Amino acid sequence: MPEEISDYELIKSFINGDEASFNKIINKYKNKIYWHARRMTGNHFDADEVVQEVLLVLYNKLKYFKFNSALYTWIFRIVTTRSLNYLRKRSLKKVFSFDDRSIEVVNSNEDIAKSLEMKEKLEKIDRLLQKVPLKQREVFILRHYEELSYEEISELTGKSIGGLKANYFHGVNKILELMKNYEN
Amino acid sequence: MKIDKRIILYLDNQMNDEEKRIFEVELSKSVDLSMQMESYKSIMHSMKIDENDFHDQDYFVNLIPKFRKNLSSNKRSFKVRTAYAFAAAASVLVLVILIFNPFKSSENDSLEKLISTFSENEAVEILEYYSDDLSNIKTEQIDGTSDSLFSGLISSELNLQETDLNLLVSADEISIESIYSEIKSEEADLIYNEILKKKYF
Repeated sequence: MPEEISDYELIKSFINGDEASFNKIINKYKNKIYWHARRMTGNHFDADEVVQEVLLVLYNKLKYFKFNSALYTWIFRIVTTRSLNYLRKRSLKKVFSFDDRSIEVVNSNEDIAKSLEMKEKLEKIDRLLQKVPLKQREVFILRHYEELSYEEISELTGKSIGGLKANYFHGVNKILELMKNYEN
Repeated sequence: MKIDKRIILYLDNQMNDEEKRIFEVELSKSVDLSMQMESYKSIMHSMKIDENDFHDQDYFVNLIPKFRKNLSSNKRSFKVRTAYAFAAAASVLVLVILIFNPFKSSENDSLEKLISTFSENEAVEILEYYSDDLSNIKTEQIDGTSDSLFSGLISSELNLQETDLNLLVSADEISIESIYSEIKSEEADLIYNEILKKKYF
């Protein structure tokens, strides 16, 4: 597959010291990284933090990538793990009231939506997804938005296919229920 | 509208061939099920956005420059953190040495214990054995600090007063050979006998 060969060449070139190759890899996957982090965290502010963290991890770990899987699968694994860690930290901070960034996030007008209408739509999706339990949300995002197969999600998350299917089913039901409440 | 759960399984390709066949037959006959199917597809579609048309490109254009900036500041902060860690570790080590001084006390204790185990004969033998090494020390190698240290040790050993110290001669000014040449044989015998009488241990 030409895409994978290109990734291979870019990584080799980056390992040999070509910093521009790293930029090329990021340019290729930056949209996927951002949107996955956005859906997992539920707002632009937190997604941006996760994205920067993921880029740092990629920069430091790319030299250890063995091409046992596709690069995008590996990147998704990093984004998923970092997002989950970030969400855990965020919920802990909320419990102990260490963090007053929730106010900052709400008040922040910074977003990537082009218009107010788009921003509202995006916020609606963000709010809905945040109400879906984390395990179900993780599978739903990877299946529904990234259109990954259960085999790929299993490889990425390390969970059984049966468990993933059950989580997806419950996740979709939860979304249907939330949508129904939202419309009412 | 209530959605039949089988629609989720059907569209997610989670049905086996038999289940799929039965569902499709029912779907072709039931208007309600068909409507539920359309409703479900519509809800799922509303959850999607066209990402490329949706977002402002400025954020993605600035993503890498922002990362590069963070990367350089991270490297700097890592160096600063490392320097602080080393400084803190060194301070703790110095404090431990100053408070407990484990090396000095244990060394002195063990040396004193060792000496106390020697009999008089053993002590004399050791002194004779190492006296050869001591005679090999060249006076030119002794610096000012060591010289004053030796003077201090000698004066405390011989119970000399400050006025007596003025009578001592510096090793730099006069050679050992010239001192030997000035000592008469009677004086040498006297010194030798006095040394033999003195108990060092």
